[in-house]
Amino acid sequence: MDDRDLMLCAAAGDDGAFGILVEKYAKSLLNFFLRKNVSYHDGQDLVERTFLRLWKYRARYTPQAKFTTFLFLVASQVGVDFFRETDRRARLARGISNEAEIAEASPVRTIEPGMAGDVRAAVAQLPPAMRDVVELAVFQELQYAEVAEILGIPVGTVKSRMFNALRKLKELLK
Amino acid sequence: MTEEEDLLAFASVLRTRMPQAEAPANLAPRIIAAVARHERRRRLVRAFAWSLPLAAVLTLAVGVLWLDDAPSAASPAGVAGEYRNAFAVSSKSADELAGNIEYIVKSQREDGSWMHPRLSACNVAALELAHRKGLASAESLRAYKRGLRWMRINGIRELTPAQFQADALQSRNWGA
Repeated sequence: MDDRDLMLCAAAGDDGAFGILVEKYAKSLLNFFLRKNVSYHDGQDLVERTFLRLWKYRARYTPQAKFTTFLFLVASQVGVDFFRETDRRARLARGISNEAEIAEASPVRTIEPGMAGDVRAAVAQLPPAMRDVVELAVFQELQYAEVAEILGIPVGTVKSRMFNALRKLKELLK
Repeated sequence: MTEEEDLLAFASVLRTRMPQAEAPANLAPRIIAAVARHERRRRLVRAFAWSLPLAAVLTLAVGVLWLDDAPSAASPAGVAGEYRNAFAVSSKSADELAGNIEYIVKSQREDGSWMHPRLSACNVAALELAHRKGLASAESLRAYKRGLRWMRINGIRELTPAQFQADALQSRNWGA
């Protein structure tokens, strides 16, 4: 069964099919949020929120759409809501967070010296609009049409942002 | 090689070189369990939907009778007392608040909730307010974080400051 079939089963109430999708996409969703500079703990929360919201809205899934389009559309909305809440609680969040504890608890694959170590920093320097396109088109390997639907922009804009972003990254990582 | 081909090849290199965090082993099971909990709750609510208006009326009636003898906020007992602990944070002086905040923290359940969703939302708002008044401790901040996390996982809307204040006024009227 492909993702579309699994999601259609989930839409019909099959939580086992939904569980397969959770197992498959939890890691890539987590990295999607971590690359938005949230903590490891918050990233896990956001992954949970995304899947819970996906389950609640499962009846809205149409078979014409790819599952990943639906998934990242919901994930993007969850991210927007999170940053809205975080802005409001910025002062309190500083009192709560313990970055040393979180960094110790987050198992990231060893970063190779040189270019690898700078990739994350370079991507973080991109303007948000370019960063979103790079995240979805490069790291999540979605097609341009999907990225366009998720971000609500024309396909041509996706392509031009992506290529401009790649040119800039190439320059930064020279 | 055209520039486009060159950039796409560069994109492939970026993809392999970007550090990837591993998801904890219990993340997927936790999510699946949360979905199952959500479904159980939804089925329960639907099964008893017909009785909700009746239950609301009965609860209100019992609450009104109960609140007549409600104890003071300093010695919490029952739902009324618990609400008063939360709302007292919005109105009382620093000296009076320490006990209330301590009670809110100690009465939190292991999963980060309190007795019911509304009370949980009130207590989370109260702990935030306590922090803003400079009264937070390490324990109250941890309780706040756990409570907020529980509410978000269960889709419970947080109280805005205006809603919290409005409920605080209503709470004061209970004791009038």
